[in-house]
Amino acid sequence: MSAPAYKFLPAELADRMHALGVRVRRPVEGAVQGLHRSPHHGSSVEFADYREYARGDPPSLIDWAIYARSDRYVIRRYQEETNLRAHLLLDISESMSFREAGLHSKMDYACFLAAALMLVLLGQSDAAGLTLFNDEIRKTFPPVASLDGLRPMLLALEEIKPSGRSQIEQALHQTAERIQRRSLVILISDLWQEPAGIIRGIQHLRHGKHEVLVLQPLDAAELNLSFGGLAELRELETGARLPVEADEIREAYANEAAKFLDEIRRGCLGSLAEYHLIDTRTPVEETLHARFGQL
Amino acid sequence: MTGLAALNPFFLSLLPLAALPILFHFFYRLKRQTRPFPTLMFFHRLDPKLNARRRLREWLILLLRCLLILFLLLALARPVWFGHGQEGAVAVVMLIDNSGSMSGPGEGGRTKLKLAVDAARDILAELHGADRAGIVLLAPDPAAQLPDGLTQDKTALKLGLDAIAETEASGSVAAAVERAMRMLDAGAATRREIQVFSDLQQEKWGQPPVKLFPPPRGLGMVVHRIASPSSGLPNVSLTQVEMPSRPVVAGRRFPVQVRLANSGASAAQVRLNWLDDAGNRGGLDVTVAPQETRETPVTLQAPNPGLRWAIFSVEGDDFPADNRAAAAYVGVEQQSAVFLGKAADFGYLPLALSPMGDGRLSGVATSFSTFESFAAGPNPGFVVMTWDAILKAGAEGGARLEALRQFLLKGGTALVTPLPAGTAGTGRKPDWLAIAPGSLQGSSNGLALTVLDKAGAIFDDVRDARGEVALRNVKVFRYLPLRVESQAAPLLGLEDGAITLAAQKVGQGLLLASGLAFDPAWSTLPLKPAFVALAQGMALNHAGAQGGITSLVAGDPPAGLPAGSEALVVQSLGGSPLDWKGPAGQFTTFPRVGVYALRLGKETRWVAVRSSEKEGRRKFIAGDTLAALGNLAYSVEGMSGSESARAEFRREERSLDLSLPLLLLAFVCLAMEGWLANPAPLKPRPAAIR
Repeated sequence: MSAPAYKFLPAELADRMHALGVRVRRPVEGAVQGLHRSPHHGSSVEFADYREYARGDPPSLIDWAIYARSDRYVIRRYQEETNLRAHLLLDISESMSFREAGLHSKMDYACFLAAALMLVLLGQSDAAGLTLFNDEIRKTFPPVASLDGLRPMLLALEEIKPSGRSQIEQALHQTAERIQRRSLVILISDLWQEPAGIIRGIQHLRHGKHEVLVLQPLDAAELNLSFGGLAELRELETGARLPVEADEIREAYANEAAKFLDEIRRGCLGSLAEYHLIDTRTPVEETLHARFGQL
Repeated sequence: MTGLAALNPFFLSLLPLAALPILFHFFYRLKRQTRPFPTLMFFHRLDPKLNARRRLREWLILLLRCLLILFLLLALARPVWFGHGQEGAVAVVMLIDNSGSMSGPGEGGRTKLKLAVDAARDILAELHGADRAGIVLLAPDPAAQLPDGLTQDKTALKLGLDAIAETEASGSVAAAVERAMRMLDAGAATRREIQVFSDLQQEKWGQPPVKLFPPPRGLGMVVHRIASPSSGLPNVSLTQVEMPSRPVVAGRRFPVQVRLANSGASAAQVRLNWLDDAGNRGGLDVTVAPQETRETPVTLQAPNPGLRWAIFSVEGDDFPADNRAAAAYVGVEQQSAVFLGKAADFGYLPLALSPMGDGRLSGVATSFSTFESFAAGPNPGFVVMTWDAILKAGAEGGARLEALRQFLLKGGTALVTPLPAGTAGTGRKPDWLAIAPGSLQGSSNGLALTVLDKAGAIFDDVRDARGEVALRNVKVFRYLPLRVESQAAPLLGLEDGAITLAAQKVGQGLLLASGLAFDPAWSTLPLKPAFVALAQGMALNHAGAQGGITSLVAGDPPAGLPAGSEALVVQSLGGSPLDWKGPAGQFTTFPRVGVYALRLGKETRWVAVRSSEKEGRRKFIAGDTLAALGNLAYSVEGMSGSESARAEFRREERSLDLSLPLLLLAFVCLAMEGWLANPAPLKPRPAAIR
């Protein structure tokens, strides 16, 4: 593939993405034949199950061998294989601009992830779209299945300037309302919001039969306070200030952060969403290989 | 007096340092950098009031740090709360006002000074243990043997109090307080006190101090006011005795002016008495109008040559301490005046000096001689010659003029006048003579005589009551204008500027040169009554002024005494007794009226002391503000008896040292600050039960 150099999809990263693949656990609806199971049963070679014959069904689908044994008209169903439509939801709120211990800021790291995933998806004949949001959905790119269609999204990633407060639950609800066909929804966010709201959004997507993949890139300094003594902290999204004595609160803070992550993890599991916590100190390729290389 | 005082007040000036933590707080707040952080969610989850708690704790720490410094500085300042707590060691100086006003009657018929001394005795009885005391008098009294500095020897203190007697002196409050403070400053004690006993006379206590000694640490000052009941009688002060400025010829009577002042509201009838050193007494009744001053002439007679004195006193008024004055003068032998020439050469001058010629009336005996005899024989005290004789002697050779110069160098007085007949003569003026006569001048209408040196001592006998020279309306018809060089000084002149009388000091003597012959044809001066006094003043000039005699008001320091350790002997010649020996620098004042001889090595001086008329003024401060104490901390307590002073002292000697409680408070602040500034790590929230 001869492609122009994109900031978040450099050639060496793109080359290493060929070995990767993204799979979904549940059927998805696609327009063209692909790697993923379709919820539509048809004349494919892969048997799915039986059902009673109903008026209007083509008589050619009746399994006569069953009729001979059980005197029942049943129709044999086959699993149709289809391509995947993936929607990447990228959090561009100001908290994503944080970087202290990581190789990149969370925002850049998330952009690398998004670009790489979109390339992987297109490489396996899937379609990938992109949605940028903070307190509302700022930009949406419908899924495309060609590399040419990927270009505007890669350029959009380069133009991102993290700002505003994130409303993850609202973005998930809006996405769930907007997507009609069963799809793969990939949420990339630091998830710094109350877990209950996020889980509600994920459940809304799951209710629409969408497969949900949650990627949470975090800087290690967010989980364990890396500084000591007295410091005045300024919250990136709200500007609120808080003087804290780090040594006094470090242990309790780490404990609270761990509890939060556990809450998120449990919520995702309970919603049958796939969840991955990503440390921004880990190179993007390693992260992708570790998460998707074995598939 | 109760209240707080700091033993180390320097640390009080550092109290603003207690605000340093606030300054540092705001300084570091400005410099504190903020860290961007993705979310504060976990902090709020941990403790929703974390910020409020943090701020509260910060302000508490700030407050505690300020309090820590404040309490430390206060503790270092060693505050003492007087009038409370336990008894501590006391250093007390009893400052007793022994000035003349305290000689007046107090309550119960005793003098105010007696009441003050009794109250001081009572306070002395209250001293115990390590307490020390000293005595300071408002008017220093060399006759009173007081303990030197602070002492625990109660016997010495009692004897010192017994030695305190009434004076006729005034005193300086600031100086007395300074002496008391210096005494206290030398010793260490928890409580330092000055107990003052005074009638608070306005004259002394109402004057702002020129300079006040900085108070020692922990000083408390209590002023016990001794009431001054009013008798309603007028008070007459003897304010001045004016003696002749020249030595008085023994055997002659001479006038003395005694000035009396009535400070009362009604006329006073008093008797003025005097007693001279020969035991001669005199007296006369005098009426002095209210608020008036009256000059009373008194005639004295010097019995013999030498130092003579007289004590004057007023009898019959209400207040005794301003009623006496001592006056001293020098009596000399009968003086001789020698005229070098014939009587007709000197006009009326021989008659003016001695009408009978034998000195019975004027004390000056006159005789006539020649220049040659004068040069050969023993010299008289006063010699008169003519310009003609001087100039001729100059022309004939220097022997006679040299004799004249030697006479002058030894202290003699010479007068040179023109011949009444006319010219000054011809000849040569000696080089040492800085005065020369000009040619005869005349004025048919007469020129007015003017005094060119109004302060000249030669005119002291012809001054009027206002001190002006009484040589008015003297017309001059003939005169020899004098040429005066810089070594000489003009004394009399004419309205046209000519000089007619000049003086030249030659060695210890004086040469008077006249351009006027003392003849009515030359001027009207010989016809004036003042001429006699002027002439006799010139004749007696050689006896010198009343040198060595100083007049002082009781309580004033004698001037001119060396401040060092040169031995001084003071002896009373008359009046109040005083015998004192010691280093001259330690002699203070004469507290009472008398005539005293001061022997300083081979030199002897005499001092005539009169009472201070200020002490008779009956204005006493009724309020609690004493200007003489400036900004010192003090309290004024009315003294209804010595028991009240004792009770006040007993209350005052208790004191509570607050430095230890303040130090403990500082430690408490330090501990609390440490506890707040180093909190235990925040405990993690318990996991929710799922």
